[in-house]
Formats: sequence, C-alpha cells, structure tokens
Amino acid sequence: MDPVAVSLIVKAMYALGAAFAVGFGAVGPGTGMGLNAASAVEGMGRQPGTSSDLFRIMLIGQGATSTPPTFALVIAILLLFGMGDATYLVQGFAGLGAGISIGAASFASGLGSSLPASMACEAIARQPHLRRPFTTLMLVGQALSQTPLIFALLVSFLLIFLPASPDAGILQYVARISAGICMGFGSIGSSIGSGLAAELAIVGIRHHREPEKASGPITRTMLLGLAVAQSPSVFALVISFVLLLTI
Amino acid sequence: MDGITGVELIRAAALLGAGMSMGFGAIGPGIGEGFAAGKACEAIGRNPDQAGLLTRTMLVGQAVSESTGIYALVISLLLIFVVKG
Amino acid sequence: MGDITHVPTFVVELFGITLTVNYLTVFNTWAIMATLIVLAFIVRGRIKETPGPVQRVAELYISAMDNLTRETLETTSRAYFPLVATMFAFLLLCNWWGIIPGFEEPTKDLNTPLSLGLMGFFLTHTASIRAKGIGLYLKEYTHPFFIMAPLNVVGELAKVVSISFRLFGNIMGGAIIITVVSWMVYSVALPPFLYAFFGMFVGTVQAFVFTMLTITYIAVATK
Repeated sequence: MDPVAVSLIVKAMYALGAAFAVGFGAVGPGTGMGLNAASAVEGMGRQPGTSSDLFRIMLIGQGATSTPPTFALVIAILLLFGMGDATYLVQGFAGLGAGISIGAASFASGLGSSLPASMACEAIARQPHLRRPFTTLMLVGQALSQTPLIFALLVSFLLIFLPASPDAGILQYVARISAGICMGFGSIGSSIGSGLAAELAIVGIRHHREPEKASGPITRTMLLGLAVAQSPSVFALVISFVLLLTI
Repeated sequence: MDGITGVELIRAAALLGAGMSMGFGAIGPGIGEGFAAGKACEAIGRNPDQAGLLTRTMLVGQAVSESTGIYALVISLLLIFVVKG
Repeated sequence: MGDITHVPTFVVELFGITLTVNYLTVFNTWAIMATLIVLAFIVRGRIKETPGPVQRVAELYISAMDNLTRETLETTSRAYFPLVATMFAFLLLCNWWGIIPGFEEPTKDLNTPLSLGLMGFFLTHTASIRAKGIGLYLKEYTHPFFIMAPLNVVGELAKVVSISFRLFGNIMGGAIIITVVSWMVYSVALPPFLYAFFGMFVGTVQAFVFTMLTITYIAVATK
C-alpha cells in the first residue's frame, strides 16, 4: 500500500477512537447525572426544608460523576491533536484501542458513581441529620468506582505513547486493539459493582438502630468487599499489559 | 497487507480472543461481587451484632463468584502464551 | 519498564530432568522464612508475666487467628490452628515484601501461590477422607447423579486454579501498576502511595482471603 493511503487510514482510526471515547463514554455519566438530579428534585419535593443541603450534595455528586467523561475527553483531544504525527498502521490500531478502553470505562464508571450519589440524595431527604456519614460513603464509593477508570486511563496513555515501529506486523495490530477492548470492557463490572456496593451501604446505615455508630463497621466491610470486587479489573489490566509488552 | 500467513492469522485471532475473554469475562464477577459487598453492608445495618459472620460469608461468596473471572484470566493467558498457530 | 516481563531463571539438569528455577523467588521466600523464624524467636525470648509491647502484638495476632479458626472449623480447630496462623503470617509478609527496596514479592511468581494452593488441596482431601472414610468420600463425587462425577472432579481441580490465580493476579497487577506509574512520573511522588495501597491494603486482604478460603474448603470437606 502506498504511504499516503496508510497515513489516511491511521488518521481515520484515530478519529474513530476519539469518537468512541467521548460518544460512548458520555452515555453513562449523562444518564447517571440525570438520575442524580431526579432523586434530588424528588427529595426536595418531599422535604422542602432540606433543599439547600440536597442541592449541595447533588452538585458534589455530579462533580465526581463528571470525572470519567473528562478523562475520555482528555484522551479524545490527545488523539485528535496527535493525528498529524501518526504515520504507522500500528499507531492507528493503538489509537482505536485507547478510545475503546477509556470510552467503555467512562461509560461504566459514570453509571457506577452516580448510584451512590442518587441514593445519598434520597437518604438525606429522609434523614437530614445523617448527611455527614451519607456524604462520606458517597464520596468513598465514587472514588472506588473510579479506580478501574484510572486503570483504563493508564492503558490508554500507554497505547498512545508506546513507541511504534514501522515493521510491526498483524500480531502487534491485533494486540493493541485487543488490549484496549480487554481493559475497557473489563472495567465495566468492577465500576458498576463498586457503585452498587456503596449505594447499598448507604441503605445499610439508614436501617441501623443507631445510625450514628453505623458508619464505621459498614465502611470497613464495604472497603474489604470492594478490594475483592476490584480484582476482575486488575486481571484485565494484567492481560492488557501482557498483550502490550510481550507481543 | 501482503504476506499474512495462516499461522499469523490464527495467532492474531487468539490474541483478539484473549482480550475479549478477559474483557467480557470480568463484567459478571465485578457486578456480582459488588452486589454481594453491598448486600453485606445492608445486612450489617439491619443486624450489627453479626458483622464478623457477615463479612466472612461475604468474602467466601465473593471468592466463589470471582472464579469465573479467574477462568477468563487463565484462558486469556493460555491464548496468549500457548496458541502458536 | 522491560523488567515486568523479564524472569530471572537458571536451568538445572537433575537425573535427566530439566528444572527451571526462578532464583529471585527462591531467595525471597527463604529470606521471608528466615525473618519469620527470627521474629518467632524474638517474641519467644520476651514472654513475661506482664506483657511488653512485642508480646502484646503477638498475643493479639494469635488470639485473632484462634478466633478465626474456631469460628470456621469448630471442633477440629486445634489441629489446623498452626497451619492457619503460619500461612497468614507467611502470605502477609510475602505480599508486603516488595515494599522493601530491592526485594520482590514471591507471590508475584505463580509458583508460590500454586504450591500453597496444591498444599491446601491435598490437606482438604486427606481431611475429608479421614473424617468420612474412603467410601463416603468417593460417593460424594456422584452427587447428585452418577453422570455428574467428571464435573465434580473438574470443580475440585478448578478450586486450586482459582485460589492461586487470585493471589497471583492481584499481586502481579499491583506490581505492574507501580512499575508503569513510576515509569510515567519518573518515580517522583505517587509510588509510595501506590505501595501503601497495593502492598499493604490489597496484600493484606488477599492474604486473608487465601487463608480464609483454605480453611473454609477444609471445613466444608469435613462436614
């Protein structure tokens, strides 16, 4: 194939990767932030006295939920501005892989981190005096739900910045895109699972006989459970690195 | 795209399969383990005296549900290192 | 960065069998065992009527492990308590070992978790045969139907795979993340925090899960 055609294909793949990153990656956080606002509004309707608290919590929760699409945007911008320098076909596959990785991860982690935020709004509307433990659990849950996203960001950066050789064969092409798919989809489960766990942990505090004393043991169990629940995404990271570095 | 041999094609397909195996295989155990952790927290809220028992049961249950993810990991490693085409 | 996939090995020819040995793993494992033995002797030398800080920590550890075994294994807990306490201490030290500069976690090598997993496998099945007798033990494989026997055998073997790959994958993943992030930020500020998270926290949880699963398998098999 002549070099002009190859560099055009590479540019097209970069554009596809950027489109997937933001296009797919914005679905989850967008839905999640909307649900979050819905539960805040519902709570305000039920308890108008708590509306200033709810508004603040909603904004904090949405702020944390908008981290995943921001990461996706960063990768998309890197891809769009790196387009000019990309010449080899292997870079095109790497760019597409980077987009898939951060796009799928952002989708899941946006959805996952909106779950505890919605539940926190609902819970604060009913038990406003417990807003401190609810907010803490919400933030811890959101941070944990975004750990797989950080792994995916790591893989995307590596895919973009790993040196490309002109004589890379089909094995390298496939390995790059496969590493992106592996990390992107591999982070979905852990992200949504962590969000679910934090959401149910807030429910747990609400049911406790003495809610003031509940947050310690419940947070401990949640952290222990989530350390185990993160391991599927760690396995995906291992496979991605093996694909990137040994092939 | 000249000169892709059949052996290379098989190996390339194996690499793609490895990524897909681990990627999609991690979805189920991740959600399941998170759900188990959340339900354990909820149960501790309802019955705080049983926190030790609940945490231990949660860990064992999560470990069992994680097995499917580990099978995906094993299959991926086999596809990468054993399939030579 | 290249050192992630590099495995330092030497090959031994022994009676016509070729053995490949990862000498770093062997060295680190022996160093950990030596540390444990020395620690045990230090604690033993300081046992007094009124416990000092070292003895208090040791007593805390022993009583926590004793409670754990008692609650899981009930009547047979005395027989397995030394195994459980030693295994958890060994795994804990293994997973924390990478924090010391220049050393590597032996659990990062699949052979360490796999051999511990195989040990647990043989222990479980001997305990099962001893508790039920060989007839009942074999009969359980045909549960619920006779046709299910191959599936039950595969299920037993899969336990070894899952328990050892879980530990290996988590420790290996942590090590990879630390190496890559250090490479990206030129070892500036982040790696100590990553060591604290992946070494201390994840390492402790995984050591606990491994020990807990081993005794749970034994408890289920002897019931």
